[in-house]
Amino acid sequence: MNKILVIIVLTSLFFACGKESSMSASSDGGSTSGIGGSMAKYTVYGNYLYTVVGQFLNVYDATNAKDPILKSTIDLNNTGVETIFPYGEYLFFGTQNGMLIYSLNNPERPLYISTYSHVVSCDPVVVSGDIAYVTLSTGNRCNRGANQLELIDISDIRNPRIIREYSFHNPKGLTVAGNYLYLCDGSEGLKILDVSNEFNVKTLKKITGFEAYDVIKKGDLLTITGNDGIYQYDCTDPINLVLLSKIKSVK
Amino acid sequence: MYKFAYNMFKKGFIIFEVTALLGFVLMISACQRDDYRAVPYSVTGYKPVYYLLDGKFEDSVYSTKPRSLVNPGKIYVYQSYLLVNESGKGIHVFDNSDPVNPLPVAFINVPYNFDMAVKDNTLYGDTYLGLVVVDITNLPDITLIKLIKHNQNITYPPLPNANWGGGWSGDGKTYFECIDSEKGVVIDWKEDLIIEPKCYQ
Repeated sequence: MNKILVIIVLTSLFFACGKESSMSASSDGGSTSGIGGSMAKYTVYGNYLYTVVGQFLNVYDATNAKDPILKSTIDLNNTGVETIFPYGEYLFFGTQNGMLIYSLNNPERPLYISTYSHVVSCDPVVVSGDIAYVTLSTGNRCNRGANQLELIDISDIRNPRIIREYSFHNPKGLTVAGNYLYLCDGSEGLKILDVSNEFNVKTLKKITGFEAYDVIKKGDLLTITGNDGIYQYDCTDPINLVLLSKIKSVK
Repeated sequence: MYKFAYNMFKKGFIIFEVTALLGFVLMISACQRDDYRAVPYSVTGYKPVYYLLDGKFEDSVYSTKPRSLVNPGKIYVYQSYLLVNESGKGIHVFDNSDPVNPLPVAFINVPYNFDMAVKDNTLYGDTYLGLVVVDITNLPDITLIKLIKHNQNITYPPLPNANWGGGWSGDGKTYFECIDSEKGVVIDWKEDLIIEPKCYQ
């Protein structure tokens, strides 16, 4: 009974907040910034530039973009910080042993809120509504880890809880757009997932033939980094992508 | 004078003898250590490429003609531009107004760069010393506005091939010439033959 209640509450929350998630280009008061991938350690959010350097977060006031001023340096107390993702009033950090959440109540001085811990892995995190999507992958510095996509309920920001984990090949960068999640799954290429039901995430399609690393969605354009270059797809039809171009690398 | 020289020689010889003996003992003990047994005499590995801390950093941030992607890293979309990091080297700029035909615009050279973000035609990038602030209003020309040094410890770039089953040596290790911090900051690794390697990962 309790479980059903939780599901109902979660689902309603999901629909209530199920807006497009990928970091969108902000434009306020004539100021513009761009969109980074899920693997980024640098991000511009509002008038601030947030940079991860080792285990530290540096916060710069970039109201005057050409003259950023360091406002604070915060020790994240974690040696394996890999990615930063701003969403709503929060900053989400992907680290080698979990996800960190910081509040942006004071954007000059983010405040620690909570941690969701998992096994040692390399992992970016993106957020949509009340769900954080974390990929864990093995390889390079993280060869003890797992290869999976984790969905984490963050409706109680102080107490993030796992919803479910799904096994993948070697998942890395990702982006969420409405009911769809685009997942770079290493040598198995790009996968298009249906995430409308968080308890039953389904792989709808795979685009293989290259090693996918990270992805950015801007409007109907997907830009993907692969081992042999940059691929761009039209995603007007979110499932049946159309290849627009490939910028080859010479290696 | 001669006597002095002879004494010096004798002294030197004794020092040499002692050193040689010590060296021999050390060699034996070193040989007895398991981790030395497998170390090859010479092996393909990596030598650090140093950048002098007192070098003129300003001169190393500039734009050039577009060049080919070699090791594409992170990507960033700003207005109609697509930025692609060249791992540890800088940033490729493409005019992506027509994604069917992205046009190379310039390459921005930034040593030890892996990350970037843009706000109001201002590019922020990381480098080993801190944060680089670059005006990209007039691409393909750029202007380095400033370098904001940070206090964080400088880390060196990861060894290529390390942990990929050993890269070259076949014994599960990637060898490199040990880092000498007196020589500056390591900004890159160059593939080379390493004689009597002492450092590996």
